[in-house]
Amino acid sequence: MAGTDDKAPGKEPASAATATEAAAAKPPASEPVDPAAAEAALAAFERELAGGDAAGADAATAAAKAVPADVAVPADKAVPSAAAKVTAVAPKPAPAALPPVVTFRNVTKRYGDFTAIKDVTFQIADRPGKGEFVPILGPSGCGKSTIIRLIAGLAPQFPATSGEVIVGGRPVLGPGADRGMVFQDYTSFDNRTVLDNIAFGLECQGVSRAERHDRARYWIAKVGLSVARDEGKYPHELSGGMRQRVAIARTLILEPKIILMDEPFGALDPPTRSRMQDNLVELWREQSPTIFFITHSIEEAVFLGDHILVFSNSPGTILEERHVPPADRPSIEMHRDPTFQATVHELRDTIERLEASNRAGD
Amino acid sequence: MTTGPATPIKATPSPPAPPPPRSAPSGGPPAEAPPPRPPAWWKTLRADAPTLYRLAIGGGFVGLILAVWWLITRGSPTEAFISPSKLPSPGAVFGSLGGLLDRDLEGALFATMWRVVKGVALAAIIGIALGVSAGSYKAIAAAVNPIVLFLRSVPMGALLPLTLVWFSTGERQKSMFIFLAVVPFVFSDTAKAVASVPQRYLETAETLGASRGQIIRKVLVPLALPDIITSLRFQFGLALGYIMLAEAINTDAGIGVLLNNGERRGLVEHNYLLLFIIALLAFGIDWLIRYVQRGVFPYRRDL
Repeated sequence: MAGTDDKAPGKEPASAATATEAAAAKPPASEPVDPAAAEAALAAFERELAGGDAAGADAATAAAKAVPADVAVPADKAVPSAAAKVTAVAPKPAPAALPPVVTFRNVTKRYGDFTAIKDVTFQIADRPGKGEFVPILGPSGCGKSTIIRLIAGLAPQFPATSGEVIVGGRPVLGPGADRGMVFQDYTSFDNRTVLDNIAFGLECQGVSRAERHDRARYWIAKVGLSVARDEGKYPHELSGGMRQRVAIARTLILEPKIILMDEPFGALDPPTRSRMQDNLVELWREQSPTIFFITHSIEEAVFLGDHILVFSNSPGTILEERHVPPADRPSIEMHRDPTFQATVHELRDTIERLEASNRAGD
Repeated sequence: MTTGPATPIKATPSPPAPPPPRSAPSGGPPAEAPPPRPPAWWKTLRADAPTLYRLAIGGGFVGLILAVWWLITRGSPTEAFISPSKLPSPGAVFGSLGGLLDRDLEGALFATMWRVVKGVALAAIIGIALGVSAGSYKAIAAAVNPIVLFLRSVPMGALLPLTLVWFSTGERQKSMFIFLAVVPFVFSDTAKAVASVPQRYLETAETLGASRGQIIRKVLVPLALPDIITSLRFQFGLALGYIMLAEAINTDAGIGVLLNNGERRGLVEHNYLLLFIIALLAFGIDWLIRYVQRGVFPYRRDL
């Protein structure tokens, strides 16, 4: 994909992607090694950013334009050796050209005097057939929503005041169906039945009525609703959990590469929430999109996630990136695991410390 | 819901009474302990009246007015408390239906309704189209708002002579008068309904790949439609009032003509009867539209 189109923006992060990709690929199961390798890759990426300032980066980009993307890796002499080393370790160099799914490069968003997020830099590697589940944790008002609305391209958070938000190798220009969004508040269209709510995106694409209804029915069942009972219902006849199932189905039916979820289960009661989490993990496995998932619940983040971003408070910056094992059991079982509990407590302490220091700072 | 909070208020003072019988041995049957009763609905603030009572009270009150009417108008013209030339007796009023039908009541009703329907329909087409545009694109709203504000503030009676100048005295003048009276309100209600569709729905539609046109057609208009129809329903009622004004001048058929002639020819009972007929008509149309609305928009419980 990156090899064929739009080399200019795709090229620069490609080298970093190579590193992260390789890091992710090298130790497939052993957890402790993975973060270290990823860190090395990230360090390489950061050095690359630091090494070339605006002018330098431009020059590099211009140079890259002349070079076909499939030879981009060897041509990339400017990249520090760390990245090259990691690349060398990688067993299969072929898919290395995949750009990261999402790259934030020194992104800052200000509203007047208020800085929502400041100098946020991270990247989420493309893992075809797997996807990455990225919970975003942090205290209230730390700009978590700003992050995913920047990815979605939704105003007023979009566009960023400075920095770059790159999705699939291209800067974000506005909202699109390749980045589905599920909000906390229920956003089912009141005038549409469950079936027509889920088929909305396909309807916009001009898919015929019969086909989009067939596909919507498949998704009604997929998210745990009953086709026979629920397809003709209007949103006002559904519970909160059912509405969120509709919202998830409505997004997944379009098979977006990225799904942005802004506290989607925040308003649900605990048992419903736990069931929805299990359902979401199942769906994620099948479709393997990259999911960004804002939550206040550390348990939820640790259960669902494999790459957690922890944000600090005003202005929001990334405090910690942490890789955890992805969910491999139902929510209730996972919660009983001592390692799981340990991770949760550790993260809680981190955030607690952070909030305390912030309060003191007031 | 209204009875809910009221119940405990009354219940609190009553517990002292029941305990003694309850503390007596099992010999005391439950008949001795009357459960605390909620206060009567008519003593409770904002409590709903049971349907039967509501209808009985309403009907009774109407009956009372009719009785008073009958009392003050009975007897010969000289005996009656109020002269029949001012207020005929109920019998005379309702008995004049035959006379009114002889004066082509159906034709008049049809002519009047047709004018109103034409005027309101035109206002709906233009007002909704403009209102949706203005609700969606605020530049259009900025352009149209001053004119609409002006039209909304002008008393409609003051516009009537000008419509005579512009459209002469034919059918067109009547419908155009209704159109002018109604269109600013249809416009601003529509613009408001479109503008108040929550932003979340737009964002959701955008992230599902809807284009701007699709958002307007598939999200904004459908979600605003129930409120737009409500606006049209209200405007239709107001238009019925305006048309009487327009029909007072140079018109050959219509309810307004019947009203005018009734006064001129001393057929006051026709005027009273016409009031009932117009009110019944207005109520019937309003009820019909609301009935349809509730059927078409089942998700709007507030209609």
